[in-house]
Amino acid sequence: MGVSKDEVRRIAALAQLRPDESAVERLTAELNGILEHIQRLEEVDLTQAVSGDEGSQRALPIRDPEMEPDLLAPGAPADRAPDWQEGFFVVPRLRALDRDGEGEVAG
Amino acid sequence: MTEMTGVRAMAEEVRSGAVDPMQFLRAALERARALDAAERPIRAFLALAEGSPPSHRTTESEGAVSAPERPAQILAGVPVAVKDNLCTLELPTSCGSRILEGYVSPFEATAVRRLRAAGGIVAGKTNMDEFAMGSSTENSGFGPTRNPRDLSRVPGGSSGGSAAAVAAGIVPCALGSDTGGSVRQPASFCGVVGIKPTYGRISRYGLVAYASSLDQIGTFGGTVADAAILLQAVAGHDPRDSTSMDRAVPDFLGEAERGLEGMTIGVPREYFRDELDAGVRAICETALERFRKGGASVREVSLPHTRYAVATYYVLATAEASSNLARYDGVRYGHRKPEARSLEEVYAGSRTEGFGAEVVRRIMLGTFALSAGYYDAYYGRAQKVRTRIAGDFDRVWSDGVDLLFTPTSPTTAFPLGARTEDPIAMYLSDIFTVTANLAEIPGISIPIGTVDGLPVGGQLLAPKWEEARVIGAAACLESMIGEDR
Repeated sequence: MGVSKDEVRRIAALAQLRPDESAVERLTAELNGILEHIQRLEEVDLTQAVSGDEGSQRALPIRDPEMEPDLLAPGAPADRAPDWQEGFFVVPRLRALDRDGEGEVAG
Repeated sequence: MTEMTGVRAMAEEVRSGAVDPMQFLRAALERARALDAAERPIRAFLALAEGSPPSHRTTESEGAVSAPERPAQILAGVPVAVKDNLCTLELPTSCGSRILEGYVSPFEATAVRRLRAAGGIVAGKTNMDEFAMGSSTENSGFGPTRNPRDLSRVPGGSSGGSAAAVAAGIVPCALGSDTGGSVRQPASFCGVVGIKPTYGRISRYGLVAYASSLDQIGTFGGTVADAAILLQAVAGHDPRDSTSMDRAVPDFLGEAERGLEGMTIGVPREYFRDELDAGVRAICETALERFRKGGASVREVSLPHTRYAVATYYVLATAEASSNLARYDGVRYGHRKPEARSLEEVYAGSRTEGFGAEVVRRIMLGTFALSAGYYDAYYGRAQKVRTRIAGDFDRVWSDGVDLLFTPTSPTTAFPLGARTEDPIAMYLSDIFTVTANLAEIPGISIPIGTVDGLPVGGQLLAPKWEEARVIGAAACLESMIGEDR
């Protein structure tokens, strides 16, 4: 089971990546090489289910859904950001959100 | 010049007041700078604790590390190198990636906090393959590290900087992380000791995630004792990491004094196939002879699913990585494409510019393995094969085997650039180490000899939570090798 260049472009879009044409070419060859190696997993007889097939057997501890102050992060959040207003970090506005494309700081 | 004589002796000198608490740190920084000023620099570090030593601005009473049973100051004044994927307050945490260049974490990893609570001092952040993806440290966004034993060769990876820092005598011990062998394989290549504990033994709070079902923090040391003392300092439950187990931490070195008498050491035949370097095989056979002399019985065993380990690992690790690395979107932290005109361009543009080739390759493979129509054939199947690989180990333990002995890597350190064009050849460097991550068991790599002047590592594996057993057997082997020298 291999991948085509079109499939590589589709996977890249899913992964929020934009490889250029030469990178698509290279990735197609590399992924097919790796998938060829992975192909050997098909040799394993999985017809008999074994304990553990349904995923990890570890019972993960559940904790109460309560927010606790993070004791490892020293100081208030405001100390770690250039600007902090009404419980929010103030960040530069994305230029894409402005009609005229001019960046400005949102309050 | 101040010598790094070993963790126990150094901490004792500091505790007794014989040396200034900052003396070893100053010596470490001086040596690191001198080695990097050479014509062929080792470049073990991405950042050094320059200027004033890291302040201890959080106090012991503030949480995670207030464990009262923790042995006091076992690392007093000991400089420790820390892999760059562990969050530190004063030094940047880049994970060897351009996408996180200059990032300074607002919080500190529990392991780092614990080593500081035990008196250790962070000497600097060490170079690594980008996001721990690699076996040679050549995938670092900031250039490769050289192997101190042979400057034309790789130090192994992904914790190559930590291994090199110990091998070069800059620090006596270091922290790394091991997802598929990233502590044991570089320890083997650089001729130092590397421990990968049981999954859940060390809190991963503040370890930047690569593949969460496999990642585990590990320790390096110039000797078995040095690596074990650092493990002692950082191990233990932490409510901030739900995968860290609430389980008592034994006295690793104390319990390790039982010796080899009566131990049964298994030798998996699948790890001694024809492709194993002949020199490495001969050194392993000498080590087995030493185990027999020490009173252990040695017998051949079989781990029949070994052949599928690398394929299983690369499906599961990349699938998890594709999810974990989705957070690097140019918005929350790290590199942002400067001229992006749309949100989509911010995401895709920043990621494409920021990630290196190997990270892109793994994100692509993982996204494919999780995508509609392929999930069952790849991810689902690999999960089931993982269970069979772990089952191989369970059968061996229940058959009366206490420990397994294998080579850590099929070869010694390879030349810089030798495998960068061939991902599969690079992935197969991990063939003897990935199984322990898949089975969540502890392992150690210790230097057992040299081939053509290059170190060879031997690996010991034990059932879950039996770190003391691997440490004990490794310490016995280490002392027998020392006596024969």
